[in-house]
Amino acid sequence: MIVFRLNTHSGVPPYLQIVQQVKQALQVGLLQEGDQLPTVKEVVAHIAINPNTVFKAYRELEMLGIIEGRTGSGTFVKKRPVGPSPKVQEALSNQLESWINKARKAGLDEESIEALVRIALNKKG
Amino acid sequence: MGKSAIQTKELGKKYGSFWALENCNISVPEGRVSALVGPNGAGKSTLLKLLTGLSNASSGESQVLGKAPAQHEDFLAGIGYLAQEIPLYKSLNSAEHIAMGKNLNKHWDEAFITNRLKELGIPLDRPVGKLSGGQQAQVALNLALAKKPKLLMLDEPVAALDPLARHDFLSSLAQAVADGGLTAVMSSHLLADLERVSDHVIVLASGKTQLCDDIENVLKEHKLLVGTRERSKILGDGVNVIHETHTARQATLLVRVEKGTKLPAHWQQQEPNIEEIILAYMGQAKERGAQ
Amino acid sequence: MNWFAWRQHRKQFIVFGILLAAFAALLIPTGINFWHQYQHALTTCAQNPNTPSCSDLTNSLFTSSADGFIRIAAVLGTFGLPILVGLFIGSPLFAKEYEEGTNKLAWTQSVSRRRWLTIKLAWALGFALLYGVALALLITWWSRTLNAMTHYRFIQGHFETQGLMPVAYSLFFTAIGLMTGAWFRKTLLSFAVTFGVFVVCMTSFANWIRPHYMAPVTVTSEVGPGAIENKIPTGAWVLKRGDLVNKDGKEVSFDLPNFPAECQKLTLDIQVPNGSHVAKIKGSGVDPVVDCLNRYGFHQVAKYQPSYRYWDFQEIESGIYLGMTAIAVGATYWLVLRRDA
Repeated sequence: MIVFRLNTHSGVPPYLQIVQQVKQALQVGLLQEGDQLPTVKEVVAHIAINPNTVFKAYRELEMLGIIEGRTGSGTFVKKRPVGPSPKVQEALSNQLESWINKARKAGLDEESIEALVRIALNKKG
Repeated sequence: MGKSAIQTKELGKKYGSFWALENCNISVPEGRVSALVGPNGAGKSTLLKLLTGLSNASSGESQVLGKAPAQHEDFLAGIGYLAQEIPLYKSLNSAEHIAMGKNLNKHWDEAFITNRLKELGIPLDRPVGKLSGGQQAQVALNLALAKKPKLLMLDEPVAALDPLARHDFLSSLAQAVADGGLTAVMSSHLLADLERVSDHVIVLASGKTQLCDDIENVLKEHKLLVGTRERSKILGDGVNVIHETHTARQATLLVRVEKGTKLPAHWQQQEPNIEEIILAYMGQAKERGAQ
Repeated sequence: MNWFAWRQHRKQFIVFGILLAAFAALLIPTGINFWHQYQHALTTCAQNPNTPSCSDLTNSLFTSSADGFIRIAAVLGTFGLPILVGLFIGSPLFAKEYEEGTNKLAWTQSVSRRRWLTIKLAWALGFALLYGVALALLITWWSRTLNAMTHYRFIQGHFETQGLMPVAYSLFFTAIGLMTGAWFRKTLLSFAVTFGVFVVCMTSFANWIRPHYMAPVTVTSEVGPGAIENKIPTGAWVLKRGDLVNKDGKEVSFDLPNFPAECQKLTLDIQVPNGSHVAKIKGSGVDPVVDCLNRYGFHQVAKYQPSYRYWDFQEIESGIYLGMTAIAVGATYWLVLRRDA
């Protein structure tokens, strides 16, 4: 079962972190269709956070159509979120790695690389 | 709009001629986990004692779970309280404390607390005076939870606990909230982990209420503005400066923005986190108090 | 709540039970023994009235150091146990809860503060009552020998240790312990004040309050050895034993300057003319000074409480202590219910 982490200093609201972690787990295949998510109680037993946070995250995921609650059984993954298949993701990942190598050879350090990525992401288009 | 678990109107308490709490108007909706924060001496313990009926108000009134606090069976059955020093009967063991709870309460979940203490590895036959601080806090918290309250009020419960004990304590609390039907107010003078555990905040300083709202709303309504010193005077209506700091050239303002107000363009806007907002309110109170 | 009140304080109840049992273990055999010794002595004296000790049994029986120890232990125990109950059951009952903060735990369970208080008071005072009754029965039974022999039961030091008094004291000092514990919220301070009240009450009642429950009986006699003693019945509590009063009724002390000049001269052993009145008096064995004082109208006055008033006094003093107990209990209610936790 997926185990959540909370980064209190990331600036990202806790409930959003949970939503993101579920999405990411689906992207990389850690979570698959039909898998059961931990109950709210199990989540807060492991990381001491406000249960309302978990409720909110699960509600959001439900609205996005990613998970569904089955009364009496629990919460389950419905389908993969709309996005590229693992094969496409792998190809993109490889392309990214080779670009990063190029940037390093050109003399950019990690922070500069991150800044470039951030600027590119922020550009609308 | 849900019901309020707590509602106070001009609530006040004075000791001799000193007002420990004044003109307190707060409201905590049902189901929230509320953080009651403020510096030492702000009036947090006083407020909680008034809400539990342990102290008598000097002025104003309060409604807790729809009733005025009173030391009567009906009122007491709905609340749970944990005093700051975590009082327990030192010479009695946990099993005897559980038996006490059964003897003194109408609703008592003996299985819940027995299992929970076993889960935590707390021996039931050892006098609680011989347990560690963290274990004592767990016994006290679960005693309060086992009476199935609708409102739980905790006075600085984690202040003296080590990180692991603190995690276990908050986890116990969070699980109880997850079960549903519980509102919790937890006072603390530590701001760390605020957003993690709470969804509502009350800020007290110098006996006065500075802020009382859902954390979500607080975050939406407050902004951090950075700009030049000269421009710091030019702000429109609907922008309430909570706290400002100035360096030689720069002014940093933490402001509360009313809905629909547009902020002037020459300010750099940032999203403050909840701790920064609370510190700003406490700073404002300190300055006002010094005047 | 009843179970918990018992559980919380059972150690103290048990300790005091053991103390009482130990005290009984001392008193029961000695009480039986004393009675038999006394009965035996009475029989012996009836058969042989000229036995030297029979004229003054009070100073010949039970005067060995072992017996003396037992007599002192009995009095100390009976004085001591009621105040000990007050100190160790009364004082800590509320004070300790405030000191440890457990009142905040107890008052946020589901039992009202009033009910909590009433049940705790009932256990403490109920225990004090039973304890006092057991103690009173034990010591009154034990004292029957000494009472029969000495008739001292009305006097200070004996009045307090028999009859109803152990019950009244047990209740009262427990109530004071409870009240001061609730008032000061500190066990040690409550100890000190409760003990102080004990000392003040014991001395002031014995010396200044008890004598006035009923107007004492006054008797007068001429001046002379044994004159006033003959008028004081057995078993009375003597408040004033034979003070000298002049012919105008004014009390004077037995000092020379207070005597008329003639009597003062007679205290010097001077030659008396034969045939004079003084010579005749001397001849008949009467002290001429005494005779002189009588001729001048001096007499002796005694005030006492007769022995048949013993139970009236026991009831009056118990009533006063019960009244004070009720006030202390009422104050305790106010102190606990009206004030902040």
